Amino acid sequence: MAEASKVLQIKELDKSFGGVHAINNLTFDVYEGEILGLIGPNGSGKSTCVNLITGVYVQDKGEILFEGEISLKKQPIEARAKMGLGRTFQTPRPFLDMTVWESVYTIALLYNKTMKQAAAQADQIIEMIGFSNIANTVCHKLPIEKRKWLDMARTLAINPKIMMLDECLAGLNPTEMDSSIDFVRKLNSQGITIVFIEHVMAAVSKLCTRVVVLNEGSLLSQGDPNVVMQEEEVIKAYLGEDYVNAYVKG
Amino acid sequence: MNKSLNLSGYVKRYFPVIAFIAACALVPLFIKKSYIQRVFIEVFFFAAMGSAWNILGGFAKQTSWASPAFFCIGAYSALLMDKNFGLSPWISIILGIILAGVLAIVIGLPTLKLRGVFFSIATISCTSIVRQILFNTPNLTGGAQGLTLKMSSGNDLWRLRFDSEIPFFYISLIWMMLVVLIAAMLSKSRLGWYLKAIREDEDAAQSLGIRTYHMKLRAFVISAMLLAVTGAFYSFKIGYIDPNSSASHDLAVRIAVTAILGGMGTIWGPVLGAFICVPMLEISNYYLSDFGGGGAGFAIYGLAMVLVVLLRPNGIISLFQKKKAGGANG
Repeated sequence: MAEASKVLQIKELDKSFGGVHAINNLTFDVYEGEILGLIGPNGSGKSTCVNLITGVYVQDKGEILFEGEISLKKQPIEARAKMGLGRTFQTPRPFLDMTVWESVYTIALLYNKTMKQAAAQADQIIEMIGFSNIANTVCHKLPIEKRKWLDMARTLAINPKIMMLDECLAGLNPTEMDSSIDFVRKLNSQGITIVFIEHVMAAVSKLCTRVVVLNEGSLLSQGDPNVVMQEEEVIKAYLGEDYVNAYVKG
Repeated sequence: MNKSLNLSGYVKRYFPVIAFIAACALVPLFIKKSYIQRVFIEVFFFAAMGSAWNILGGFAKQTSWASPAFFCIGAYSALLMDKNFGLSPWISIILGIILAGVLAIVIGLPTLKLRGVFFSIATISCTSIVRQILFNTPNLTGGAQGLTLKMSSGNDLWRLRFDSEIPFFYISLIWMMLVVLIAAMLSKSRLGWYLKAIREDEDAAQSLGIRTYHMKLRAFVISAMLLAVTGAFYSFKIGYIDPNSSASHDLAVRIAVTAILGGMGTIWGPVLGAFICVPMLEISNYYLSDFGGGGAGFAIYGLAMVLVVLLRPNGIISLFQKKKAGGANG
């Protein structure tokens, strides 16, 4: 892992909303090809972090470097998408009135020279994700799991280098969760770096090659998921002081 | 998803459109009453304006109330050029298109950054500003009196003056079909798809790389240009223009309602809307002119609007549409 190049460098990042210090001097790297788990209790700044990386918010201080040299600070949201920074939202955001195929096709149009090529890419993504049978279904008829996958399918059309998945397992049943985990693995095996924001710890330790733990906007710990999640500080942050003994010793 | 159609497939698919155009084109042969012909002309012009509004208002659901501003630009530039330089409207239309495009950029640059209702409110003030400018420049635009076209007898296509309603009937029909064609082509284009994505979820669209602000601005400019052309034709048809009837919020509402009532974001919705709205207003004004000080027409108009919003939020055209199963239907 040490040999891999840093695809994203977050350096001394700071962001406040009025009196709320959401991100506080945060520094970590994302390496090419990894599945990085971004974890932390509610309100620890995970989603804010993604929003800073994708450009929804602009940092007050600090720097985000993409592929070692490109500073993202002045890049608008859509330019960052064009560079290959893909993201999904905590709540899926489908194009409700379009069909599944149309949703993917619309985004594919942005990244293909001809409309024919875009259609071909859409077909390919739909097939890869296993949506061929519902390609012509209107999105507002899709259940939650399919909506989450569709968000990912659309993001695939931007030919992402990094995909940031914001709680893509929340609200799914165990079977759906398993298939989603397999799917994330499949994406990763195609060379897409994954930043995986999640509360479901079982999934994190199963899937992630490395985790970054946030607490109150700062970096609490990082490293191997199974090691990090045994750390006293991490347990304290997640569950409170009282649980430290129970967990570490028990 | 790529349908390749042979010739007979095309004929079959577009038969309703061809039949509709043919039926419209034959109207003057059967209806000789010039009043009814004028109503048709009004229908065609409103269908064109509704379609133009629909490009931003329907495809991207960015409700603009600035249509009268662009309508006036087209109308006033055509009439002024005619009056002062004797320039043919066919030439001054180009000036109107350019001016409307520039104004759309000037209005759009700051306002299209605003989302939803805030954009709408900003556009309301645009119409008001144009109205005030027109009222307060009597030397140039005739102020509240407006401008009147000097009529001459005989038919003159170059200068758009005719003895009967029939030439304008066909001009308005052709113009409506042209705007509908532009809207239809647009909805199948890249811009059309991006606008629909913006309509469905602007944040998501942006996060996937769609330059939402630019796309909205483009749609706004195209829509403004089409409205300006309509304004030029319309003012030559009725032979005068004044700020009270043209730079009014009333016109803004009528244009938008044409599209909303018929079916926002659809190709034929605004046309259907015009065929309902315009005659409805004419009929109710005719029969109810002594009732409620002449405002009864608008009361019925309002009632129809409420009923459609409550019962058919997707417009009257949704009564005729099959449930969308798939494919790339605009």
